[in-house]
Amino acid sequence: MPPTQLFFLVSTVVILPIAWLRGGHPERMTAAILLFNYLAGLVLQFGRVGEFMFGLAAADVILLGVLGWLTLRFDRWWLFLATAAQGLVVLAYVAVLTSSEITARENIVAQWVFGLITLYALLGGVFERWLAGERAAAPPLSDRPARPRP
Amino acid sequence: MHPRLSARQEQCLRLTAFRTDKEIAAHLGISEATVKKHVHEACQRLGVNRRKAALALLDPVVPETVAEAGVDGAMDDPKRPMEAAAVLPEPPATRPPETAAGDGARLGYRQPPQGPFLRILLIVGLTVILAAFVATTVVMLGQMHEAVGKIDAKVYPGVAKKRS
Repeated sequence: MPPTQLFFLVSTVVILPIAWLRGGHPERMTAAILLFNYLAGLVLQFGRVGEFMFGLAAADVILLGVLGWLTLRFDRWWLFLATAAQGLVVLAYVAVLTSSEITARENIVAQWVFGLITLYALLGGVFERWLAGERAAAPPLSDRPARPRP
Repeated sequence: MHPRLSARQEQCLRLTAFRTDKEIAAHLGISEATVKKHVHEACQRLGVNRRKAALALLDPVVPETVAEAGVDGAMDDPKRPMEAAAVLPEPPATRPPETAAGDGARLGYRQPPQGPFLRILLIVGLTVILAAFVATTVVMLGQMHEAVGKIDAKVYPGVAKKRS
């Protein structure tokens, strides 16, 4: 496995659980959607016409739509960066369609780079909300309840 | 009193706005660790992980209210019990606790613009900036790669011929 791919994998494995456990509702939703997108990519990567991977492209367009909706729905700065990065992922697919010089390999590298920006924007969002003292959407891991039950 | 907190927890938490843990412990006649425990428990019960955020969830204490309640006087006189100073009258809450902690307005956080058009414009602007940054980086790396290749060809002509 190349180091870039390994770095992406490690980042995913570390950041998604942090976002799920420590983040608010938008962070949790994004973590779940990203995970679903990655898992769907395992199957969709085989859908390919020439250099254009239409299965992955469809999944990434849907992801862009969801991130855009989250940006309009929630007051989170990190969502702007994540949506912009995802927009570039979609633009990379358009570039493959319009230019014959760009290969599928270069397209995948672009996905990794911009995917990393999305992931680290998510991590930054979780950190920023933690600094603001917002309660995590997930229940605490300790056995003791965080607040008395009514 | 706050419905989620015990009297002691609220008292300790309120005093953290004015005094250190050590000073609170000395005035209340308890250990510093106990003060920390009370404050930590209060933070947990309020569902936040910072003292400032927990204080923000309690009612805002304006200076006039503090003076009326005698906080300054109580702090000056170590023999006087702190209970009266710590338990201040609660003004009506202006917004629900969820949003008070969530938007972080008290901590200098500025919310994103509210209009959908402005937000979309911001996304497009960020996309352009990111694209320009990545394109510049790629071009720069390509130029560096070319320059290194040229230097290699000069310094190690044999290796360059073999590569070509």
